[in-house]
Amino acid sequence: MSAPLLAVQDLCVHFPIRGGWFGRAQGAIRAVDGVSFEIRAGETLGLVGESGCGKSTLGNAILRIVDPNGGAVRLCDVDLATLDAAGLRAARRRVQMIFQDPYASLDPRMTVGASIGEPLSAHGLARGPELWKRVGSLLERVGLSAAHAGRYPHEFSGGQRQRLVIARALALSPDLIVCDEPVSALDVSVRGQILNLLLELQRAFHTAYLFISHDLSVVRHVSDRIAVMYLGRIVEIAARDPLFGRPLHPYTQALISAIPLPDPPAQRRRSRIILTGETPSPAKPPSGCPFHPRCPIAADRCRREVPALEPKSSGASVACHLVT
Amino acid sequence: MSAAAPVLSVRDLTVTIGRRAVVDGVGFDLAAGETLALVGESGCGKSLTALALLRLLPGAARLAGGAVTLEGADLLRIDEAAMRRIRGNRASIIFQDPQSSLDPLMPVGDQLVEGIRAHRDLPRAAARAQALAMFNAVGISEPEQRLGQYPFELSGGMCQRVMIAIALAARPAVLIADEPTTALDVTIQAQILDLMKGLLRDSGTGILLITHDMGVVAEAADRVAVMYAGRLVETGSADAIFGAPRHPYTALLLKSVPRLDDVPKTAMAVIEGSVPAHEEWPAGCRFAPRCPLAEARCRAEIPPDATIGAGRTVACRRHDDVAAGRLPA
Repeated sequence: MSAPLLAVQDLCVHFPIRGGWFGRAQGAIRAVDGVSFEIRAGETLGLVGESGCGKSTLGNAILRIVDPNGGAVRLCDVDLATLDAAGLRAARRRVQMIFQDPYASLDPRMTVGASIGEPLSAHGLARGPELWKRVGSLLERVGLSAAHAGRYPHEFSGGQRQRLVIARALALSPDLIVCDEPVSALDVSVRGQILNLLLELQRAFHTAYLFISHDLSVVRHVSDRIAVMYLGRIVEIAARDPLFGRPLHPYTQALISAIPLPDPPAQRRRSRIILTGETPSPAKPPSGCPFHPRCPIAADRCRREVPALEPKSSGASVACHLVT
Repeated sequence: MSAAAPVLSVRDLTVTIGRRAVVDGVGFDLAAGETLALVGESGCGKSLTALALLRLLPGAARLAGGAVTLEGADLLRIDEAAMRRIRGNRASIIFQDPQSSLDPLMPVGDQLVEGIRAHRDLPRAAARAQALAMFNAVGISEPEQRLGQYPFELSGGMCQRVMIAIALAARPAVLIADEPTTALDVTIQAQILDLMKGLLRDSGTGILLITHDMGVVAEAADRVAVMYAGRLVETGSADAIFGAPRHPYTALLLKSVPRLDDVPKTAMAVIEGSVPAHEEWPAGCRFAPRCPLAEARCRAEIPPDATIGAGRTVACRRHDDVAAGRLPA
C-alpha cells in the first residue's frame, strides 16, 4: 500500500474553561482527545458523530483554523500541526475546506468571480485575463456558467452558492478537501446534485475528502472508509460496507439503528436500539470508556479503563473492551 | 382510521403575503390518534399552514380564506378570546427549537405548572404534582430536580421533552409538531419520536407532524400530505406514498435521498433546478419547470386534484405515467 496522503496522530484540541478571578483556566474541554487516522490519495474518509463530539473541531484543527494542543498532522512529509505561518500558507494550497453554510462562506460584497479567483491571485498563480479564464472554467466545472463571474452571492440559490464554494476550493487543485457538513443546509431536492458533483470531481481530479457529517445515509453514499467519533475520540474506524453491514462498537450499532429509513415497512420490521440518556459534556467526561453511561453492555472494566482504538480480526479498529 | 369523524378538518386554507397566495387552497383531515405528516422543503408553506391553523401567523402573512374545524368549532371565525381558550388546551403546537420556545427567565417546572393551571382550576400543589408526573411520563431523568432548572441548564433533547410535556398537559385533541426533532441528534431524535408515539397512543391525540425529513415521515406518520410551492401535490397513506408515489415531485424526491441500500459512490437521481422562492412561482403547475414529464398544458393550468383511491389524491395530469414507470431515472 502506498504512503498515506494525510496521517493524523494523537491529535488533541483542548479548550480552556475560564472563570473565577482574572479568568484563570479552571479545566479544559477535551474537544479532540488523542485522535489518529489516515487518508489515502483520492479516497473519502467519512467522519460521523453527533453534535459536540468534536468532528468539526477535528476538521478545523487539520487546517489549523484552531491550533491543536498536541499530536501531528502529516500531509505527505510536512507536519501541519507545527508549521509556522509562512509554511502554513504554502501548505494550504494542498488542503482546502468547504463549510456547511454557503451563505456565510462567500463575501457578500465581492463578485463571485473575485471570490473564486482570490486563492489563485493570493498565491500568485494567475492574474489578469489568465485569472478570469481560469475562474470561468472553474465555474463551468461546477455546473455554472462563466457569465456568472460578475454577479454577487445574493443572486444565487443555496445550492448554487455551495457550487461556488466548491469552485473556490478547487481553484488551487488541492490534494485534500475537508468537507464539513457540505449539504446539511441545503434543500433535500438539491443535496443530491451537490453530492453527485463532489463524486464527479473526485473521479476527475483524484481529490481526497474528509467528509464530516451527522447524516449517516449521506456519509455511506460518499465514503470509502468511515470513522465514528464520540466525545472527542474515534470509537470505530472501518471500510464502509463492514461498518454498515456489521458495526462492532455498541455506539456505532445504536447510531446505525437510529437512522430513519425512508421506507415505512422496513422501518416497522427492524428492531432499534434506543439509547438512554444524553451525551455527557466533554468538560466532564465519564471515567473509563466515555460511552459507558449509555452503553447497553457496559461491564465493570468499562467504568475504570479507557479502551484503546485497536485493530480487530475483521479489519476494523474499535475502541471497546468487549469487542474481540 | 379515517372512518370516524375527523378531530381537525381543514378546507381550502389560503394564506397570502402581499398579493401572492403562499398557502394556496390546502385541505386535509386529521383523525383522533392519527399522525398526518405534512412534508415539503423550505419555503413550501408547511410551517405557515401550521401557524394559520392556530391563527398565529407572523406580520406579513394574512389569512385569506378557508375553514379550519376543530371538534366542531370553526377556528377562523371564532373571536380571539375563544381562540385563546383553544390554543394550548384543545390544540397545542411545538416548534423546532425548544430552547427558544421556553421562557429563559423561568424555571421549566414553573412554566409547566403555569400551563396546567391556565387550563384547569387546580391548586398550586396539585398542579406541581401533576407536573412531576408529566416530567416522569416524558422520560426526564431526576424530574424533581429538573423542575427547578432553567432552560439553559438543559440539553436540546431535554428542552423538547419539557415542551412536549407542556403541549400535552391539557390533553389536547390535536398536537401540531413543527420539525420537532430537526435540531436534535439522531439518537435523541429516535428517543423523542418513540416518546411521542407512546404518549399519543395512550391519549388519542391527533398529530400534525411538519417535517422535511422523509426518514422521520416514514418512521412516525400514518398518512402523508406532500406540499410543494404552497399547494398539496399528493396525499395518501404512508405506505402508499413511499411504496407507489404518483406525483413526479414525490417520486423524484424519494429517489434523490441517499438510502442504506443504494450503490455508494454512484450518481444519484436528482431533481434539476432549485426550489423557487414564492415571488418566482410559475403559473400552471408549480413543479412544471423542474418536472421531466411536464407538457404545455402543465405550464398553462394548475392541475386539478385527482382522487385515485380512498384517501389518496394527486395533483398531476400525468400521474398515470408516473404509475407506469415513465418517469426518467
